[in-house]
Amino acid sequence: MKMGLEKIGLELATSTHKGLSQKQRESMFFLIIVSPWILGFLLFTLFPIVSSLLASFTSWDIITPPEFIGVGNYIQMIKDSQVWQSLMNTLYYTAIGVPATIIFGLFIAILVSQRIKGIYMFRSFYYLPCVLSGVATAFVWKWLLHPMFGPVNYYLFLLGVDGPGWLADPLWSKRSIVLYRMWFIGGTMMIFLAGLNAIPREYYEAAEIDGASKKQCFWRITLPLLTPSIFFCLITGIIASLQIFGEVYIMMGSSADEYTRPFLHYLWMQAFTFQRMGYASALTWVLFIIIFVVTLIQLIMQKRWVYYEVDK
Amino acid sequence: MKQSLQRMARDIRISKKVLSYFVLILLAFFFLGPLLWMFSTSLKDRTSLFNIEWFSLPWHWENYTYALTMIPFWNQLKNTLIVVVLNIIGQLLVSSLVAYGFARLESPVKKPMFILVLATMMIPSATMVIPSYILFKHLGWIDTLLPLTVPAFFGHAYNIFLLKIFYQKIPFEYDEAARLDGAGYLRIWWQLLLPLTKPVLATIAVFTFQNNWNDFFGPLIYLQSVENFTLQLGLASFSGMYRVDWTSLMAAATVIMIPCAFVFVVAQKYFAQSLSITGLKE
Repeated sequence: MKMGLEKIGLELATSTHKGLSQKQRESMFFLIIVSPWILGFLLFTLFPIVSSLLASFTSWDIITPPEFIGVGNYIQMIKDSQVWQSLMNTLYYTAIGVPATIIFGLFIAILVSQRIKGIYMFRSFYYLPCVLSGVATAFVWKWLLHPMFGPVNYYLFLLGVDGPGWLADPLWSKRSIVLYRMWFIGGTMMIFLAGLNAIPREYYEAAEIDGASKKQCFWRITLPLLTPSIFFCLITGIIASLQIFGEVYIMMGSSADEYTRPFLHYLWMQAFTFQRMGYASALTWVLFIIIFVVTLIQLIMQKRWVYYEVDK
Repeated sequence: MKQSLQRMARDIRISKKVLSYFVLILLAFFFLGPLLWMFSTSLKDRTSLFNIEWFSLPWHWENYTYALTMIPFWNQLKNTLIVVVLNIIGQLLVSSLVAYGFARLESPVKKPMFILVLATMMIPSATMVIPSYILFKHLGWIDTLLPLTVPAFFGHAYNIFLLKIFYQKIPFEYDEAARLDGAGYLRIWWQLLLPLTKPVLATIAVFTFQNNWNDFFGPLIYLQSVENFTLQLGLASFSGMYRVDWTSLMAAATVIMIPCAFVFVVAQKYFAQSLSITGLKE
């Protein structure tokens, strides 16, 4: 201990000698340590964001120098019917997919929260798709849903149902993609499972003593206490859904059309098929603003329905 | 009377259990069925492909050799491994060092800078695609693995955030004791804090592996020539090149999934753990 104190004294002496206090040295060291992140932020985040904002006001094919056209890209966007179509498709994936994922995810989570034999195995089975590659699984589902030779339509046929054309049918293509996305519900299940496990057992015991039914327990205890988990799934689910791209790109291939093409796919096409970087940059900013506004609205609305325990 | 009530209660319990298992197995089929179907297709003869059979003998393992020669598999595996390994190293080293700074050191600019870290976490990844492409085009990095590897060495906001939480849980007295013994900041991080946070580092490694192994959008944007492709991109182009050959396609899909499934089984506890870390509970 004495040795240590001596060392502090020594350290203080040397630091004042250099004209820097211990505090200043620590602060300097902090900056050195976090400098990789600062550099990365400037180079890989700030610079691209600023340059894409500038690019959104230009007409630019990335080879010849950009040409300033003011808000031309944004005006063109409003007139571009394909922008609206792809936006509506993205909204469909979100409006149908996210609530379905939350409702079924909650159902499955309650199912696997039971303390019965083999339940851990079932949890792993359900979560497994979430760790697998998007490209490979999209192909697998394309093959499963093959209108002529896929097993899904075969079993529907055995049940006496005339299976739809799935991805090949304009009416069913979007639903097929939502169905495929439901296969990855394991992540949502795990989040709800963590939420369910955190509810104190005593609440249910107390309710049981008071003669509450299972149904009442669910609506009055489980659901309100799960609202933070639901809110989390809602926010992350919507943000992810608004950025749908890969699954449609793989499953539809070159036949992605006005019935399935999501907004990001259209943006990608503009950038890399037509080399219209200026327009694609403008579309990027619109996507960013949409996601930002939707998230902001949810953050404001949460006060009305998300229940946080006070003593925490 | 009491006995019959008890028996009734028991019967209800049993029938509820049976119903639960019924639904559980049905759901298991939904989640595992597609994978079994993939595997079964990958072993089929191309001519008997269209029979709905789960197991048809003989097994055609040659579909696998065929699939692996159709795409330059080994080359793409090499590219994928370069991306995965460099990302894991970069994330573990740099994110944890930066997190150490935020968790253990004091500076007047620390707070505003951490808010900036949190803010970058909120940027949706899709909106960074075109901006990053513009940057990498400027740098001349298009069609190389650099855009997919270099950013990892500048830390990732989410990992920094995660590690910071863990570093803060370690008592500060440890640092003070180490400092009294003459250890510098870097040594405190390297020799004291890193070993104490091994489980989180493992979690980050597992997720970095999974994300980069499965990444499709990044390679799609930045890579152009086939010899630079990662496996995901190779697989995606597989179906475009030839008439869809489902048996080899499913064989290739199976091969690509195996490492992820393997890591999942080995590192299962980390997957479960990650959920408790992500701030959902506490």
